[in-house]
Order: sequence, then structure tokens, then C-alpha cells
Amino acid sequence: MSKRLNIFVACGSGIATSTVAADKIEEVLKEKGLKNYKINKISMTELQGALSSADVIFTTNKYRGEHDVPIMSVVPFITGIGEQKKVEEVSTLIDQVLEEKED
Amino acid sequence: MKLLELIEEDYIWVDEKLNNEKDVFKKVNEKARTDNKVKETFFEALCARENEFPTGLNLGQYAIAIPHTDSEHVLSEFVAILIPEKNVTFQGMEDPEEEIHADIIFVMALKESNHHLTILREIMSLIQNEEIIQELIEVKNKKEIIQILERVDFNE
Repeated sequence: MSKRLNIFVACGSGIATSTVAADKIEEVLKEKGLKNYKINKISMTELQGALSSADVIFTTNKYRGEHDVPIMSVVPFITGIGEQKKVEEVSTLIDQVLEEKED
Repeated sequence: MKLLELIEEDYIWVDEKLNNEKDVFKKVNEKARTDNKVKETFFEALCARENEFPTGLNLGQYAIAIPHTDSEHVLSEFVAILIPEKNVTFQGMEDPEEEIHADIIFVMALKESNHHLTILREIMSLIQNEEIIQELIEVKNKKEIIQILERVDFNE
């Protein structure tokens, strides 16, 4: 059994765009057949505090601070422009994160 | 809660001369203060929020911005629509270094957090329809905007 993937989705408020993005990310995870994950929605100001526990973070705003955890912007999930390409990027990143987690 | 329920003609501005995001916020704030829909803190909160977490979104051929504040500054919910005479420069949500020349600005003044989500979803389905955006940009009066929005099926 694989370890649980801890995912954070952040936006300015932690309410609006992060929820929309989180739904899309969940779709990607389900499409990949993943079940063992948790998606947490947070505000950008809470992001720094999440760095220690997160496996991967998705945002709709740019995070300027330093980080070891992979952070990916998912604005295409809001605008619909380049959405398919972003789905693939998210999928690839999840694969990488899972692979590292297994090591 | 539906987007249309939160839109009033008084909160639509068409062909308005707006030079920058401050002009946009002033316009909305002035009206909303008069109607007692927002607190005194609304204007500053809107500016600060936009500065810290910009809301400009590039849609390829068009661009929009969706400024909003935390609910604590709002007394009575509304969504304002501004379609300026000339596009207004915002910073990009994805990359604050990027200038976004917004053709349409939706200012969301909402109280309930679940409303943010519903309204945002409706605005998203709206902005992902290029024909609708084109129509909105070309309208010349407030009534037409409401008519266009009434036609859009948000449950698609």
C-alpha cells in the first residue's frame, strides 16, 4: 500500500479559486486511479506553514518564498485556457512526487 | 445564489473612462458606500488584496480581472461589472510581473464563502465562452448585459 499523498491547493483567500482548482486536481487524481490522497485548501498566507507537511502544492497565485516542495501554478483550471496541457503537467508532477515518496 | 441575482443595473458601468485599477475600485466603492453595501474599509481592502494577490486573467484574445475582498468588508452582496472604454491594466494572477489589459472587470463583493465559489464558477463558465465575451465587450448599454447574462446557461 502506498503512502498517502498530502496535497495543498492555495489561493489568495483559500476559498474561491483554490476550490475550483482543487476540484479539477481531484478529477486528475481519480482519472489516474489514485485513492490514497488528501487535498487541503489554504490561503497563500498559510502556504509557508504547509511546506513541512505537503508533498506537492498547487496555487493560483505565484509563491515568492523559498521551498523544497514542488509548487505548480494551475491558473488554466480557472480560465480554461490551456487546461488540457495543465492536466498533463499536473499528472506528470503527481507521478514524480509519488515516485520520490516511494524511495 | 446565482450571479444574476447579484447583478443590478446600478452596478454595471459601460464605456466608462477608467485609467487604472484604482479608478475601477473608486467607482464601485463610491456607489456601494452610498447604498451602504460595504464598510468604510472596503476600498482599502480591495486595493490591498489586489496588490498582494492580483486577479488579472489572460484569456488569449481577451483579458479580465476578478477583484474581491474578504467578506468582513461587505454588508450586502453584489457583483459589479465594468466594461471600460479602454482596457484597464491589472497584474496577472499567475504572474504578478505580467500586465493584463482587462476588457471586463467583475468586482465580487460577497459575504458567504460558498457564494464566492458558486459565483466564481458562473463567471468562469461565462469567460470560457469567447462569443459571450465578445458580445459583452461590444454592448453599449446596461440592459443588454443583463439580457446576455440571462441567456447564458450556467449549468452547462
